[in-house]
This record gives sequence, C-alpha cells and structure tokens, in this order.
Amino acid sequence: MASQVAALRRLFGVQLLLFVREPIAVFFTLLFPLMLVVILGYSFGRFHADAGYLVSDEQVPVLIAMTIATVGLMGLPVTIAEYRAQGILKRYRTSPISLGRLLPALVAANFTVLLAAAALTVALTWLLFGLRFSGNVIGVAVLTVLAAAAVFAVGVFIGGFVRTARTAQAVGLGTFFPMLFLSGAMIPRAEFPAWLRRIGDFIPMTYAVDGLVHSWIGQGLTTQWRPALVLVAMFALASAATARTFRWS
Amino acid sequence: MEVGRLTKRYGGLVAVDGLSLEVDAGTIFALVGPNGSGKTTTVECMEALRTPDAGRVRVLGLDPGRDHGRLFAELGVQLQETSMHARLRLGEALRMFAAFHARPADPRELLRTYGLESKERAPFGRLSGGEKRRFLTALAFVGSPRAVILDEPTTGLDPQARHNVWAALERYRDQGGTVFLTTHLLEEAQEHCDRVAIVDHGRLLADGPPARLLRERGLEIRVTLPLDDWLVDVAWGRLGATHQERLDRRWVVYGPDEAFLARVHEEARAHGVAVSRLETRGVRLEDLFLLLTGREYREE
Repeated sequence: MASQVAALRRLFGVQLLLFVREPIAVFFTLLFPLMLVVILGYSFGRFHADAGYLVSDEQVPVLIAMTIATVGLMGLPVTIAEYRAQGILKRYRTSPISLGRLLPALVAANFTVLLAAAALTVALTWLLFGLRFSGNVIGVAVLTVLAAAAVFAVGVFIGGFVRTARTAQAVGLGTFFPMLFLSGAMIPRAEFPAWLRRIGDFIPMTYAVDGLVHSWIGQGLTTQWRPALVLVAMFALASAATARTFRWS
Repeated sequence: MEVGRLTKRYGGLVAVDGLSLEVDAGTIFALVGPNGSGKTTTVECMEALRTPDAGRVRVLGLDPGRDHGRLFAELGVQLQETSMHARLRLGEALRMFAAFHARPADPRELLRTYGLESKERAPFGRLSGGEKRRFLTALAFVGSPRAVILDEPTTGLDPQARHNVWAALERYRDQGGTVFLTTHLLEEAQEHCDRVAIVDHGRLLADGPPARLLRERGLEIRVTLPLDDWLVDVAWGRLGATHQERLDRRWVVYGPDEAFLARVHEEARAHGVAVSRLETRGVRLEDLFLLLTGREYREE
C-alpha cells in the first residue's frame, strides 16, 4: 500500500467531488437551509426567544441540526445503497482499500459539506438579521461533531442493510421527518404532550437540537454533558449495528 | 494461483464441487463453462468475496480470506457486476485507485493502451458499454499487479477493441504477468490462452492447452455429412471416428488425422455421395465444449 495518508486524502477528495457534482444533494444541503433562513427569518425573526435572543438567532443552531439530518438521513443512505447497487462497493472491496476506510472517508466528505452549509447559514443570518452569539464556540463545535457522528451513523446503518437505493430513500425519509418533528426542531418540545416527548427521548436528533441550541445561547459543555453523552452512545450503538449488518452486495 | 478441491454450496445447491485448478505464473488461463457452471463462484472465492465451504484457495501464495490488503495490493480485478462512480472522470478514478498502490501504473499510459486517451476527462457514466468494460479492465492494471482476474474482458467489444485488449493481455503475460479470465468466447480462448479449463456443474471436465485438449481426444478433423440412408449402414469403427453425433438432418464425425478423412471420403464415394457435399474443417474448442457440456439451454 502506498502512503495511507495520501490514499485516504485521495479517497476523501473524490467523495467530496462526487457530492458537489450531485445537483440535488447540493440544493438540499447548501441552498435549502439558506431559503429557510430567509423565509423563517423574515416571518418570525424579530420575535423574542430566550434570554434576549431573537428567533433569527436561535434558528441558526436548529437549521444546523436540520442540515445534519438532511445529509445523514436523506443523503448518506441513498449514496451507500447506490454504491452497492452499482457494484461500486465491490470495486472498492477488490482494491487494497477496505470498507473501514471507504465509509469514514465518505462520512468525512459529508461532514465537510455540513460545515460549509453551517458556515453559509451563519453568514447569511448575520448579513440579513445581525447575529447574537454569546455562546461557547468550543461547546457548539463539539456538539456539532457529536450530533453529526450520531445521525450520520444511523444513516450509514440504513444504507448498509437496505437492498436498493429506492428503499434507502424511503427508509431515510421515513426516519428524517419523524426525527425532525419529534426532536423539537420544527415545533418546540414544550408544546408536546408527555407521551410524544417520551418518544422524542429515544432519537439522536432530539439531543442534537437540544445540545446545539443550548450551547449556542451560552451554556457550556459542563451543562450539556447529558446530550453529549447520549449522542456518543447512539453513535457507538449505530456503528456496532452497521458492523454486523452491512452488506457488500 | 491454486484452487484445491474447492466446494461451495448455496442451500441444497452445490455450485462448486471439489474443483481443483492450478495457474502457472506468466500464463493466460481461461476458465470456461456454461452459465451456472460455478465459474463466477470460483472466481469470487479467489477474490475473497465468498468463503469456500471446503477446499483451499491460494492466490499469489496468499489466502484471500485472510490477507485482504496484501492480496489486492498485487492482484488486479475486473468483475462483471462492478462499476465506477458515474460522475467521476476516468482520469480522476484512475488517479484515486493509483494512490492506493505503492507502484501504480501511469494512468495516461493505461488509458492509451485501452484506447481511452481521448476520454480522460469524460465521466464514467457517459461511456458506451464497450468503453466501460475497457475502462474497468484498465482499472484492474492500475496497481501494476503481478496477476489479474478478469471476468469476460472482451464480451460486447467490437473486433478492433477485442484485438487490442488481447494484444495488451499478451504483452502483460510476456512481461511475466499472470492472467486468469472467464469467457464465453471460445474462439478467442483457443487463440489467445495458454491453458483452458472447462467446468460444468462445479466440476472440472477438461484442463490444458487448447490444442492439446483436442489432440488428446483425437479431435482434429470434423466432417459433416448429409443424412442419407446409406449412413445407417456405415460401420463407424471402420472409419476410426473418435466421436460422432447427429445434428438435425446431418451426421457429424470427428477424427484424428488425414487417414481418417481419407476413409470418410472413400466411404462416401462408395455410397455414391460426392465428396463436395461433405463439409470438412478443423475441430474447434467450441466443439469440444459442446460435446462435454451438451447443447441444451442453461439458466442464467
């Protein structure tokens, strides 16, 4: 094997390139959150949210969480299922690169796109509405990584065991929408009846939204250790499940 | 490469049944057989895509199941059902796979060898079927492998492409490389391969250099005779035919040499059949294949 680093860098670069060449993925990941910044911002942005924050401020972490779900649950499962259906996974498998390298490279490429989407969301919100941020940058960064790790791991798990790209799309969407609504990203969880909140306790997106919003409005990691831990646990669980159920063909 | 008493079952179906093969370094070896004969399963066991139920597989001295990374560092593979990212350009794909290897081949040179130099910037998804196949064959050579396993490398190619692909494979062989391939194109196997193994129902039926396979069985000359009543009387032993079969309204006899042919002519003349009505040609590998495996349709 050539230099492992060079191989991984090439693999990562190609996965990123392929993402950028997929117009639908680019639209939903990079442009759709910006549309929401404009629509939601001009509709509700001037209302007050928590502790002196405007809705336009608080919608930024929510949109980042939503983009994590878009990339992880709508994009990744379909990509992996397509790779398998087209025999691309098999092609990688018969090269010195193993599955243990391809999937991390693919996930890293998707995470890079997520960071770009988050940066654009922050920039556009700041430009249009001004942005208040007195939160903890490290806390936001750590929670973004953990939330993406947990949700992406669920997406990889789905893509790893469904047989076709169509099924991957159906299962991905069937996971995306309940997760989005139950997590409190769209409707505050305080409005939910207790039983509905209880269901939300079992999905990673709830902790992604919760952790991101709270660290965004100024609470440090010390108070956000619970969502952080749950996200780590969910990442571990989904990864272990992937290792058992992933199919090459 | 070596396969020893390989067995693989799928439920009750025995796909490969105690198959043994040996492929010498620096040769082109063809594994041929009807659909469902166990070719693909054998190849997939050699590529670690399947685990044998019994038997021993060694490729480049390695156990495919155990030495994954080392094996594919030196073994190039082109499978039927594999593909490449539709939106990735050929040059980009080759350079990426080249980065996985310590001594990669020059991507430009590979594209030139397989007639794709003008397609370096074309996305894989835009290629024609034949171009895709040629590209995947080129991709098998990207790591400067010591051996390659190719699944039907020339199927669906035009005559020029087939000629050039065979020329490239023979050059690779002459430089010491080992080629293991499967094909349904027996005329090509006979012309270009150093050794051919015919398998059916997961068992080995014949194995050796194509010319020797025919010679050993006394299958050198094939004569087709119009089916007339006189043939019923012919004593086949007297002709010295090594094999005979009835096809539609004709008889086909196989024999080893000119003496056999002379006897057939004599017999025909004796029965008032003009020699010009006999169809005579050399025996082909395809004839042997059909004699060994039958003429019925096979399920895909």
